[in-house]
Amino acid sequence: MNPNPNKLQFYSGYNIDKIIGTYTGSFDLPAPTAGNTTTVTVSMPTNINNTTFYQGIFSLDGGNNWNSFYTDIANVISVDPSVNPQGDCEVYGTSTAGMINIIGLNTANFSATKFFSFTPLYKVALIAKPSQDNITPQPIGTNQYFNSTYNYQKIFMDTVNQSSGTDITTTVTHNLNYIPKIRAFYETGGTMEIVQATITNTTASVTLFGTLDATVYIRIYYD
Amino acid sequence: MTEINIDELIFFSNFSGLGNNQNSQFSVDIPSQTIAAFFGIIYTAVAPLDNEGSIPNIQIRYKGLTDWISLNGDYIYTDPGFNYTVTTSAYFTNNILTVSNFLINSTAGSLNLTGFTVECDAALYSAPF
Repeated sequence: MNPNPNKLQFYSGYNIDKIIGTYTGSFDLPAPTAGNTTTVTVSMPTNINNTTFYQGIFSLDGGNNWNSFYTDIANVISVDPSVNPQGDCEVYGTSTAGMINIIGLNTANFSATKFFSFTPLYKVALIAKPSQDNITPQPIGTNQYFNSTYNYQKIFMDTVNQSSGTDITTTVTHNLNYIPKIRAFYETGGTMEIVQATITNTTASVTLFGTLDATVYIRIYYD
Repeated sequence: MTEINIDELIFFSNFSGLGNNQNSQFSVDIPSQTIAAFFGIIYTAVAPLDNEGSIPNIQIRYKGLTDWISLNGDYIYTDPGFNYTVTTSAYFTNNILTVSNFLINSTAGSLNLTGFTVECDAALYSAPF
């Protein structure tokens, strides 16, 4: 019998995420015009013939502040603090077969009078999904793969469900009787993307809005 | 490196996971109050978290109103009576995590808001970038 996973930093009896590649870089995100959004996509080959899970962060100010993918940053933070927000900027990622894609969105309000360009920095880690199967390991950015002072997330369960229809909620039961950490993704049309999830003491749910035929992945951790 | 079947490994030191190195639980009360038509209020919950390139996992709930939400960008909540909406966003500046909650009265009359608490559970994970 395995020991209590919530009291362990690492124990080989519990599966953990496997980071199978990391990517860092930057790209230019030009200024939009009033009421518009500039979109730039940067795609990098992963040499993995399938989609993967991933987690990423970005910085709009040269690495002083890092935020999760999808965070909307008011666009005056790094440029001119005396000016009220004129719009916002965010960076997120998607995974497609053989590629990791970084997307930057730079939006100006309709009433904007100042327009900003950015050079977002990004860091993204590819993580093996269930049934990832054969891969060719990709470069990882540091020689320190494991630190025994860190608490490595121990996977309690992986679920994979099909979701078809309009505004469909996928719910899975975990019965841990506490609120676990989870990571959720959905894949549709060959594109994998992170998705928001709802958690209770016994369940985890993902709702996909719109009409989609998708695969929903929910990974639930002990701790 | 040669091709491997990643599904057959429980652990291989070159493919470590995400290492949790900081945690914080914090909250902010949005008190009961009357809000004028189409007027908005902002309440922020803050916590010191030294994010120098870690991956955050931020979960929130409006106690008594919602289950826990694993944030992925903004979270938008509309009350069942369609009287107000709350937009919650989380971001780091200068090693402070701010969870901003913007509540707007979406009716044409005054809103008697019953207060609630926004609870936050944040964790940072180191990745081998």
